[in-house]
Amino acid sequence: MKKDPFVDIHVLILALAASFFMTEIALYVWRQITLPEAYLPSAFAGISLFAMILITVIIYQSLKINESAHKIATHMAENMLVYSHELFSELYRSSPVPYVLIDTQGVVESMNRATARLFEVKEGSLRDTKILDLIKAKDETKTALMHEYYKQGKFINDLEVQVQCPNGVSKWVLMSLFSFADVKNTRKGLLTLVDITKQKMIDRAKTEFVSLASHQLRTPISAMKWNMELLESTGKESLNGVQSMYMKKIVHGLERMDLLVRDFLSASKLELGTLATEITDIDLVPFLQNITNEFYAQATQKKIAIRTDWGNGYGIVRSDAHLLHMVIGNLLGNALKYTDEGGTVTLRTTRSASEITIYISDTGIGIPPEDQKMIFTKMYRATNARTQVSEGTGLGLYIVWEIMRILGGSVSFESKPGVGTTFTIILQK
Amino acid sequence: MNTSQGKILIVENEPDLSEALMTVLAHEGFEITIEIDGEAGLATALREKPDVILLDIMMPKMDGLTLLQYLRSDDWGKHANVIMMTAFDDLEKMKRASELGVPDYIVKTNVTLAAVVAKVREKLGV
Repeated sequence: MKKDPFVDIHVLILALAASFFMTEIALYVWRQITLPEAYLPSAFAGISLFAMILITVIIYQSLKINESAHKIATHMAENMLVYSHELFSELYRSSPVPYVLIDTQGVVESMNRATARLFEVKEGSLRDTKILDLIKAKDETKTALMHEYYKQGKFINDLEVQVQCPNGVSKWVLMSLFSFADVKNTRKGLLTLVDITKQKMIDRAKTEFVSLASHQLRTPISAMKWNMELLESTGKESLNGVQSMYMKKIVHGLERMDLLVRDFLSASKLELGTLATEITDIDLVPFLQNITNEFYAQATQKKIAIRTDWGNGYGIVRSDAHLLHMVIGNLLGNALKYTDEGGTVTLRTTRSASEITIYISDTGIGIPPEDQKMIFTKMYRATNARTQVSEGTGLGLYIVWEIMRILGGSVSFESKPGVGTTFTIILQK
Repeated sequence: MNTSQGKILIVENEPDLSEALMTVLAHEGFEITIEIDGEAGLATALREKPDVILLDIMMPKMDGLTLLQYLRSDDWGKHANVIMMTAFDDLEKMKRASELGVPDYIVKTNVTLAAVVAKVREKLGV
């Protein structure tokens, strides 16, 4: 412990005060027992000196103990600090989760062993690499958004991305990234990358199975549909009322099965990235009118009016006709499915310098506010849709969302339960 | 019907489908031949020279697109009327068929037999 001059002065003052006090007591005792006055000065000096030495020794001893205690405490704190630093370093180094510390430019400052394993490189070899350049999100827009979020210091949580290892291997990871200021107030980023390649492979195998199964199911469905058609055309006279009703139920069941299989196949193709696109010039209004025509019979049966207002939507749009057909067909089908008898479904188009907008509105049951965030999620159906309309896979809007992503457009909606829903499709010209 | 409306060759490996097609087309007065694989289909097509070939894509021995390729290399086959049939909307295969001069295709689950008959009539102009 460092010598403190103030401590010495304080000890001296304290010792003087204590010796004065002790001498006063000794003199009082002296007088009480009436010893000769001649010895008084030397007794006074002796007692004072003794008291001073005694007090000084006591104080210094206690200070020494205090000093030792302080030393022990400091030592322990230092040990704890070293221990905690080592513990942290070890946890950081050996964690199974890849951690990467990056600067504001996304350049690697440090990385742990799991990161080296993930990128199939030697530990530390990615130092000074711009790691964000090795990470690609599902599409370019999301990748750009990821870079932008980091620049703005926004938190990125569990974003599914692909990392490109220097040896060319590509892996799927769940990426989280947040920025913080270190002790020197320098902004840093901590990147965590959880390898989900195996899960993705399992998921892909599942999707491939669904795709194969759906594909294989289509041939027997076609056979059933065509033979039912033959039965209907040849048995019109011979079937009685009940038999005709059973046959209608079978046909309806077949139609449902066909739609289910078609949705499963489309969803699996979207997931596998095998849905081919072919961008051509589409004459928008006749194209939409043709799709609408496919739904008139269903609308008439449900006593729902279909209205169209093409506005200034006339003209060419460059898109994939097959995929756009799936989008419009899905939204029109939903509008009819979730609108009660006497309702209205409206198709409207508008065109601006850069965009074409298609609105599909209904006066149906609407989407409850609590379900609205999830409505484009795979296999999700709104609460009221599940309870009021039994048919549905929850794949339709997921397919719409994914196709619009592929086509580089967007889909959004506004909805009020009991009033209706308007879906808005925006296509770039 | 006594007078034949035309000769149709169905090349389809699923009997449930080819027989349904045969029933409805025969009822409409067409003369029908069925083959269940690509090789036999090609041989029959070149030998019989049908007015329309209803051609499936996925088949044993030789797939529909290969058959079409061989057919187009034949003097008669170059101009033969072909309607491709597929189990699903396979745009890549349809594009290839279109390059081989077959712009018409039907997705089997999407069309009715009546629509197939209409398509055949449209091809033959009857």
